[in-house]
Parts: sequence; C-alpha cells; structure tokens
Amino acid sequence: MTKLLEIENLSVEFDGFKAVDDVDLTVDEGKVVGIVGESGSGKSVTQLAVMGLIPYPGIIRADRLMFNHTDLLSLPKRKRRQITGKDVSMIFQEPMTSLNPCFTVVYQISEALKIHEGGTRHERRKRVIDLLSQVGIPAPEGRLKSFPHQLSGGMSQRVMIAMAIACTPRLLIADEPTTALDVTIQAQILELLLGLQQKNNMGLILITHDMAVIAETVEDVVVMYAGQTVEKNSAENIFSAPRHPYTEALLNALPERNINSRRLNTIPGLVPGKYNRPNGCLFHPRCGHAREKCRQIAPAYTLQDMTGVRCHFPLINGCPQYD
Amino acid sequence: MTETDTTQSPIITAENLKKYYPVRKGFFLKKAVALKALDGASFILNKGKTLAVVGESGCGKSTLARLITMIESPTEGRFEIAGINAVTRDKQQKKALRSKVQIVFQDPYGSLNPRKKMGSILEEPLKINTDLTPGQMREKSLEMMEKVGLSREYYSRYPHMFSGGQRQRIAVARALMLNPDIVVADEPVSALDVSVQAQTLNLLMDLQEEMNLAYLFISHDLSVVRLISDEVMVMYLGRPVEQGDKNIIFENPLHPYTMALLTATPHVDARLRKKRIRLFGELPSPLNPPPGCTFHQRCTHMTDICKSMAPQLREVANRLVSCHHVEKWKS
Repeated sequence: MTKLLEIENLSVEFDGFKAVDDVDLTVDEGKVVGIVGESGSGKSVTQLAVMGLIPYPGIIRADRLMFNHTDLLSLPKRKRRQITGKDVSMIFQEPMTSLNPCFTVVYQISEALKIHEGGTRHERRKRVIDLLSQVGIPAPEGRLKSFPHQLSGGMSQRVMIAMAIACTPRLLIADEPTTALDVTIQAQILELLLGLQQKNNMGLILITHDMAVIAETVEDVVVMYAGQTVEKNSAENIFSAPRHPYTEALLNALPERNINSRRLNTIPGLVPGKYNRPNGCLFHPRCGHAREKCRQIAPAYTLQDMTGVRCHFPLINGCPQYD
Repeated sequence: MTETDTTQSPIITAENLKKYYPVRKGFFLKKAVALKALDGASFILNKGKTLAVVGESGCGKSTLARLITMIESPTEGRFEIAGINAVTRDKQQKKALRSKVQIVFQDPYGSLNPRKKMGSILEEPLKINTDLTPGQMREKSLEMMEKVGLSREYYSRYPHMFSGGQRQRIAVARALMLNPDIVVADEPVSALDVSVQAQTLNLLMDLQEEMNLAYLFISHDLSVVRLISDEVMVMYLGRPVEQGDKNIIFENPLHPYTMALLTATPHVDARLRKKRIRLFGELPSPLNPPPGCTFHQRCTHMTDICKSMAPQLREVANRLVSCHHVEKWKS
C-alpha cells in the first residue's frame, strides 16, 4: 500500500499563535481517515495547510509534508498549484456559502477541468453532465445552468462534491461535509462519498465534530485538541477503549451514552484560546485524571504499533496508568 | 424520573393550528398561492414536561415556534395558554400571555445584540414588562446569572467577549427573566460543540426541575431529543406524522418517516445501529405538496391509495400516527 500523504510535526503559526502545533497524520491510498475535534482544535487549518491555502500571515512548518512522495514545502508555487485541485481536492463546509452565487453550476465545475485538463468546451460540458449524474443529481442536463441559490442544501453539497472529484483526485479532503444538512440527507451524502471513494480508490480525509458520523464511516480516527493530535487509533478501538482522557470525556458527553440518566457527563471548562494556554499538557485543566506532572511537562506524542497518544498516563480500559 | 403524573396539568392546548403564507406566483399573474408552512398540528403540553418537535428543515418546526410565542398569529385553529385563549385580538391579554412564553434561539451569535452589555440584555424584558426600579432589575439579573452558571463579574461585558456556550447561557437567562411557564427552545444546542452541548443540556434540565418549566424543544438531533423529551412529535411538510410518548416512539416507530429518521441517525454504539431505511430525494416544496400522503414519493411502502388519499392522524398502539399501512408492520 502506498503512502499518499505523510505529515510529521506540522505547525501553522498566525502572528505568534500556533493554531496547529505538532500534528502527525498519514493517509494511505484507498483509506478513509477521520479527524474529530471541537471547534478551534485546528482540524480545518491542518487540511488547509495540505492544500496550500493558508493565507498570508500564516507560517507553515513541518519536518515532513509529503504528498505522493513529493515534498510539498519545497515545491515551487507553480508546481504546487498543479497538484492542488487535481490530485488533492477539498470539499468545504457550508455548501451554501462556498459556491459562488454569481456563476452557474456548469461554469464552476468546469473551471477546475479547464485549468488542469483542458479540452474543448463541448468535452468539458459532457464531463460535467457525467459528474453531476455520478453524484446523484437527477436530470443533470437541466441543472447545468442553475445558480447556487436555486439548489437546496443537499443539492449544493452534491455540486461541491462533483467539483472536488472533477479531476479524479487521489486524495479528497471533506471538511464537515454534512454539518449543515438534515439527517436523511446526511446519510445520502456520506453514502455517496464512500461510494466514490471505493470506486476511484481515493484516500479520503473526513473532518467532522460528530463522533457518530466517524463511528459509522471511517477506519482510522485522529482526535485533535487545541491544535494538537492527541490520539490516533482504529475506529473500533477508539470507541470501545479510548487511550486519551479527552477522547474518553468526549465520548461520555454524548447524549447517546447517557440515555437513561437525567444528567449528561460534561467536560468542565473550555478549549484554551490564544491567551490562556496552560503550561504542561494542554488538556490538564479539564482532565479528571491530571497529576502534578501533567501541569508542568507537556507530554510528547508517542506512537506504538498503530495507535498514537499524547498523554503521560494513557488510559487502559478507562484507567490511567500512573508510574 | 419522578412518578407524579397525577398532577399533570396542561399549560398549552393547541388544536389544529395552521399557518399559511401568501406567496405571489409569476410576474404578471398576481395570483396569491398559499404556502402551507404548518397544516394542522394539535398537541397538549403539560406543566414541567418537554415536548420535542423533530423533522427536517422546512417541515414547519420553526413556524410552530413562532405561533406558540405569538410572534405570528395562526391562520386557523386555536390554542390556549394556561386555559386562556391566545388567538385573540385583545392586546392587553396578549401582552400578559407573551411574558409566559419565552424563546431561546438557535444561533447564540446572532440572537444577542452586539452593542448591548449583558446586563442590559437581561434587563430589557423587565423594562418592558414590569415596573421595577433599576436597582431591583440589577439584583434580579445578577441572581439569574448565578442560576445559569455565569459569574457576577460578567454583568457589564459585551456578547463578543463570551464563547458560544456562555452566550447560549445568556440567551437562556434572558428567556427566564420574566419567570415564564413555557420556554420554546428552537434548536438550542445544534450550534454548540459536544462538550458544551452537554453542559447546556444539563442546565436546561436542571432549570426545568427547579422552575417547573415546560419546554417546547425543537431539534433535528434525535439523540438529544431522546435524552431531554417526554413526548415527541415528528413532523413532515407541515403536518405531524407521528406523535406520542418518547419511549414508545423511539422503541417502536410506526410511521415510515419516523423509522427512516431513526435509522438515518448515526450512532457511536454499534448495538444501537439499525439497518438503514434509505430515503430517496428531498423534502418536496410546500408550495406544491404532492397529492395524497405527502410522504409517498419518498416512502418505500407506497401503494396506490397513498397517491390519492391523505391519511388521517389516528391512534394506533398508544400513539398517533398518520399512515394508511400502519397495520402491516404493527405487531
């Protein structure tokens, strides 16, 4: 199996604030990786860094940022742009605002085709019709000249997906693709994404804050907290035996796990922001298992077999392993 | 849960509520067409209980909230709040009733005035509806802040200084300033993260117990509904399709749409997952609803009768359901 994307120790800095700090991520060809975390945990920024879409004051540093054995950091801009949108493409959050309201569906989808694959207008039009039917839009010919405001939420998301897969990418990044949608439509869209992923043997990164979506769709899960990866594990293990206290707390806060009790388990406090970063482990003020060591020394991310965890005392069956 | 069901007293009784909006069609043909946003909802909400309204966007959940809070008046039907008719032209009476029903909105970023300090946000309902002195108002809002878990020193801060969860607490506090009997919560936690969502839900449940509040809880997240509600009303295209006790509906749904909604909801726990019933297509336009059963185009059990005749809401196995074919999969 070839490694499609390798990230080691990636950090993204805005004006001295590290929005992403020490992130490791590997995606193999044909694999589905999920990234979960609350808002402000750096999920989206990590992926924007992969796409090369971090705006001006942002500084990207990494020990390794490789896509398909090419180093993305040292690549000249022109070469980089040939990869972005073709081999790596992205589906953005909120389809209603991500589409350009001034242009028709056919224009927006064929834009990527025009730049990366060329061809005549007629060919591109045919390809767009083909793409729209692939993403399950009924009567695609009639939809070509539609503007985004004429489409429903689910339809716009389908158009976004059609745009992203236009050049048959090898890695697709889906950033909260279903957050704005109803459950029945969410199920349809996830099914569609996984279907396309298998058909084209793509790597797929699914970013979401919904644990349940992750549980039903992905093979490997990466949990992020305050800009760091705190746990990497297989989907089976992470839900039955989480290693990091944050993962455990997040799972326990789900309404689904508290059905018969009158109170939900909560995580006290808030995700630390720019000005209130604690010393030591970033999670320690909210952690139920924290010790003196956690307050002083920041834990390193350790990989063991296929699971990674950033904690001094990782959990085994819900019990922290103190030295 | 406490077994004090004998003390049940209805706080809202709604009968056949309808809301049609006129929509002009065509440029020259100025013929108004009725958009049936809500097409006949009846329910009873008891004191201290929670009625959850679920459904996809466009099913009339929010229209129902607007009617109950008396922001708009219904086209047809009637409802009573604590035994007093709320569909009336009597302004005095309406004003008195309005303070009994308060609302918490979905988006905590959009529903607080960014130019007002937290103190004046909380005191505004008091200014309009009571004749307390400024000192008393201040005392009352500080008390309420403590109740919802906000520290007193936040009194003179602006909304932008708070996080999403804290803002939602402010919104809840504002809704409770006038000691209402009913709080309409329109998707109060859907914009929040999981850990903050849990905190907010706990707060809502605690306040309900403490102040004996009745909630009309609007949500599309079924796992939240399962936790917080006592009764559930599932809506589709402006009409309730199934309503009844939470446990009855979640354990044994009878309407195909309820089943589809329940199976489409993702679960962390593999044991809770069920075989997905696929729904094709999307919600049809309420301007041009399909004839017969409004759900028939997306239903897997559709037969000829569904295309021509609209099913009525009727009682089957301890809940109300509107479907022609319920008997087929009852058992």
